[in-house]
Amino acid sequence: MTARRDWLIEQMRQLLVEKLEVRVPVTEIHARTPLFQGGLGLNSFAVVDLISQLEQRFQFQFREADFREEHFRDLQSLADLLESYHPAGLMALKEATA
Amino acid sequence: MYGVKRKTCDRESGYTWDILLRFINFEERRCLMSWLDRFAAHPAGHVLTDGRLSVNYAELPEALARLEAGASGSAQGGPVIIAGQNDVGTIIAVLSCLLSGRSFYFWRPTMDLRDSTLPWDDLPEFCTTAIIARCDNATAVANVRYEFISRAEDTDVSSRQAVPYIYLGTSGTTARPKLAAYTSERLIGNAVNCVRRFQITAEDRVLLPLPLAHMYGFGAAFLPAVLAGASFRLLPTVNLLTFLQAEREFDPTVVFLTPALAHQLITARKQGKRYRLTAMGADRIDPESFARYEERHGCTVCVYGSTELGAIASGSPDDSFERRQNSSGHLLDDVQLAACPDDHADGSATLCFVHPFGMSGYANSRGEPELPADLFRDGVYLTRDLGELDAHGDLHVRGRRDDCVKRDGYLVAFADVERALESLPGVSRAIIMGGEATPRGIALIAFCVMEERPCTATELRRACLTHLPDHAVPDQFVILDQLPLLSTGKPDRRALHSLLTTNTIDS
Repeated sequence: MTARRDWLIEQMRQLLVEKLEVRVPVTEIHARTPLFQGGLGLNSFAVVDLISQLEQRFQFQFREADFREEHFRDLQSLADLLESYHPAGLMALKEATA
Repeated sequence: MYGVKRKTCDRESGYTWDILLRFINFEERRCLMSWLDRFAAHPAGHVLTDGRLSVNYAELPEALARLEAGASGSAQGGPVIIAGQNDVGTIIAVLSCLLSGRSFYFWRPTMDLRDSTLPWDDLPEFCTTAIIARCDNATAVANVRYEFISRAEDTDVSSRQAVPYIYLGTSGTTARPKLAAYTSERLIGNAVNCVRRFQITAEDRVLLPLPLAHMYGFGAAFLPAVLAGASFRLLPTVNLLTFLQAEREFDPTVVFLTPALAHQLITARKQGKRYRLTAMGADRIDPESFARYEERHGCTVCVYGSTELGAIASGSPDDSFERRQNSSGHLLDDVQLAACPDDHADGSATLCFVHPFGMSGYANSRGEPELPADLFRDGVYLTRDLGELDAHGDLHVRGRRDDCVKRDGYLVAFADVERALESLPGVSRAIIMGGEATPRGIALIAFCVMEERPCTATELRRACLTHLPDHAVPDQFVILDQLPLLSTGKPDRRALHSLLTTNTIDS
């Protein structure tokens, strides 16, 4: 469980740096770093990019009701949300590491 | 003073329009006060809210009085700066100044205001005091704290102006924004036009996910909503998440958007949500995106306007889909298209208007309005846009007048090249900018945003050759994932220009 959570957060850190071109070194992005104000400062467009990148990488679709600030506060809260979907991308990893 | 002719209302928005007619036609101050009196008559459930704090119309006079009491002694009667944050505290400050006949610059800060250090050098010298609403720790409107900050100790010597003005900053595509000075009658006249065209009634719930301190948000959305007695919701921070959250909580009937925000909704959201009306302003939306947006969100109208004139034209909910999709709508009441003294030889005309509710002028260093001779001639305002009215009276905006260059002896309008590029498969948006001088004229640089289909600069250039004459084919192509935008939703040309100095050009 912990290993999977760590892997998930690591995947999202890389995604932020590689795909969203966040101007913060990957080493400074932690599970509790705010994604918006006072943290990475993601703008309105980056949120839309983040959503589609996550869906693509983990092979699932967000429910619109989950588009809420509290779920997108930081990587920790995003990981909680993603795990609730049991996305295919995560399940594959679970099997591989079992 | 400009009067509004009594006209038959298109729709049964009865009581609202009656108030507005009285408001416009009577002596200003008295009518403003009658507006205040009418707040109490609005239904109690109708609120102005930022999602955290709310005030209903019946509570407004008390909230305004509380601010007035706090202001006495802290600031003299001269023009003030209101820090335009998207919160209820700011709404109360704005209404207070508007109703008490005090001049104010509705400033849109770009920095964090928590430490109270204001960039006084960038703020108009005729304003010596700034008002900042502090809503963070407030649990109710009564607890909002107002901070009055002076430029320096004992400098608040400005006196009340004979004619109070509301100053709104221009978009800031170029350096320091100019300040458009409006009398309250003209701003209200503009708002009346918007109430009528958008058919806003007290039953509407108006959502504004855009900056309040801007002509579009303030003049076309906020003031019309308040005049109509509608509920109104602001977003303190704007992104897809906050928008959807506000939508769920507030259940809006009218939404004011920019094409950029509309694209985000089309891209990310999973299901549609229909509003009575969406007003799409600040920039033009391509017909295909318009259709996709309307299919999910219902009746949409394009709004055309400027900081200098306010709302100029808009579609109406009564218009057919085709008219709303393909034009910026028809002129608002009492606005007229005027002949332009400087028409281009190629037939595209500069849009010029006679507008009864336009600004009084740009503020000079004393805050007095001055009409620039290059923009106003004999009561006619020359925009920088090209376009025309069609046989139905619908306005088609073709691009910017100053975005033209001579190449190979031909005049090339950037708007024409942009349209040609946008007609190519895979190109969702194109912006043309002028580059350095070349032997054939100023270089054309194309910034293209692509849809899913990747496309190289070479392919784009080849495609252009079949759609454009040689002299209009761009010299360089820059392919972008998204267009940098100002907070108003317009392309950020300065940011685009700065891209030219980096190494991202694919030529």
